[in-house]
Amino acid sequence: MTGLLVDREDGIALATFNRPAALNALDTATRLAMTEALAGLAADASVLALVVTGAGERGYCAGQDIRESAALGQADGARWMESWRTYFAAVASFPKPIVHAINGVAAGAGFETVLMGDIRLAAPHARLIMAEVDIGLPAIVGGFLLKTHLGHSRMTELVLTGRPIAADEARQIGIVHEIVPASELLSAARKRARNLADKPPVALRLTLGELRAGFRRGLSEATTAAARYQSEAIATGEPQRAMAEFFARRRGGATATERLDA
Amino acid sequence: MPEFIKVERSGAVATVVLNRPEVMNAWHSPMRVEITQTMRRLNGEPNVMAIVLTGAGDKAFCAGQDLNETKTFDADRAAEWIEEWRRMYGAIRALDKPLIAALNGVAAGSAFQVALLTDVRIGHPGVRMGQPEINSGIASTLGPWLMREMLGLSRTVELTLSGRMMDAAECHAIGLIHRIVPAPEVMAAALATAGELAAKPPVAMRLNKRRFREITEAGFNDALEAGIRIQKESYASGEPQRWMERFLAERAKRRTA
Repeated sequence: MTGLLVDREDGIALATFNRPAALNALDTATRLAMTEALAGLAADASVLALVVTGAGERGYCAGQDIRESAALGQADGARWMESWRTYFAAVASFPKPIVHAINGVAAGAGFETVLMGDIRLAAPHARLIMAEVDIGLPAIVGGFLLKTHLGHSRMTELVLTGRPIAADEARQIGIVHEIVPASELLSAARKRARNLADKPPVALRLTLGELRAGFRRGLSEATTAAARYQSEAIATGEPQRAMAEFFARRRGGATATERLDA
Repeated sequence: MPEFIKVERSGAVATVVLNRPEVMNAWHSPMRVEITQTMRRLNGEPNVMAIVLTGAGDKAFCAGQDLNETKTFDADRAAEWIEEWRRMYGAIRALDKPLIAALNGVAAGSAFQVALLTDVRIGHPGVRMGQPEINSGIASTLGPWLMREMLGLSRTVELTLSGRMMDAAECHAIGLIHRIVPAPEVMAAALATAGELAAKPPVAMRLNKRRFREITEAGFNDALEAGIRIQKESYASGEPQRWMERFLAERAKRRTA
């Protein structure tokens, strides 16, 4: 069983994060699978646009797999960030339009993945969360992405409080373009992707190329800074402690997804 | 003991109250020094994990610069004035701890800027904020820098040139006020948010704050350098002094009428 499903239909590719029991959290295997899938879809001339969603009804993607990151040693920060850098670079370099169908919670790196796409549709119960601070990690890439979309004021409040953004607020402040009933979300996303796929291809490629290039410059600075900041945080032992407390609050046995799902 | 501000403590949260209600908490040089020193001290106090900034009374958070001070400036004093802002804004920007603005009333000019230097802004429906410098003949550099970081160039230009004050609803709609609560609840809401942020993992908090400083540092320094250049030219023309005299005279007339 793979953490990522990819299929193609009539020029539109669909990538589905597929670990529903973990709210589709991005463990290393899923992250690598997505990185490889994006390379393949970029090279496949029959694919004109991509829709990304999550399996199940509750989660789009809960972000990093906290059980995995809680097990990181103090020397692992830089190496771990490097594997994220590869993943984000693949998303930020994807040469075709990306439509996100946000079918539930999108948190942390899941939220960041969404912010790196082009069109964002959300189910009414979807929630967007950048709560890195609550597990002891500075939100450097998340901060860059939120500031790019929302400006410094909203970014600061979201990054420091870690509070969830409900779908209607996300629509109002402009990071979700349309709210669609859950049962129609995927077909609406496919329709949006179809619409983009039918645009004059040279103009589309050049426009996206320029958008992505501008984005990558900021992202590159942020990911470099993130490696430095995350290493410093992890070296203090605070994230490991914060994550352990996080699990302890869940009475030891439950998963991090319960909190995101609450 | 500071003369123009009050500092209160409640658990891990310190509250700094701007305390010149007779002039709508407007600041002058000595008050700026007190704020600068207090922010530096609180940043170094291990038991303080979050800070709330508010104004005394129910009219103003702070009216900004005390014009009775600036109306006497010449070009050299205007340049030194910018250095005072560098120290005070720098002390606020250097905080490793979250700073919450409890907006109890109007925040104008440099007080609008200080509000924008805080991390989370909570206000009530009667709050008004803006950058009216142009109306007293003062050119703006720090305000437009902060607004552009938050609002983009379009809104920055319109607000800077018109000098108009925004009401709380507009501030909330464009993202400058994060939460609006009834006036009597502003302080309690700010303390609750401060308490929540005080409980966050402190290393991540400190690193997030450092990162905010890092990504805005170049713009801050540029705005200060431009500020020295522009204020010297502006005050050398005599225009701000004349317009401030006129403004103060008209206000005195309104008050005695």
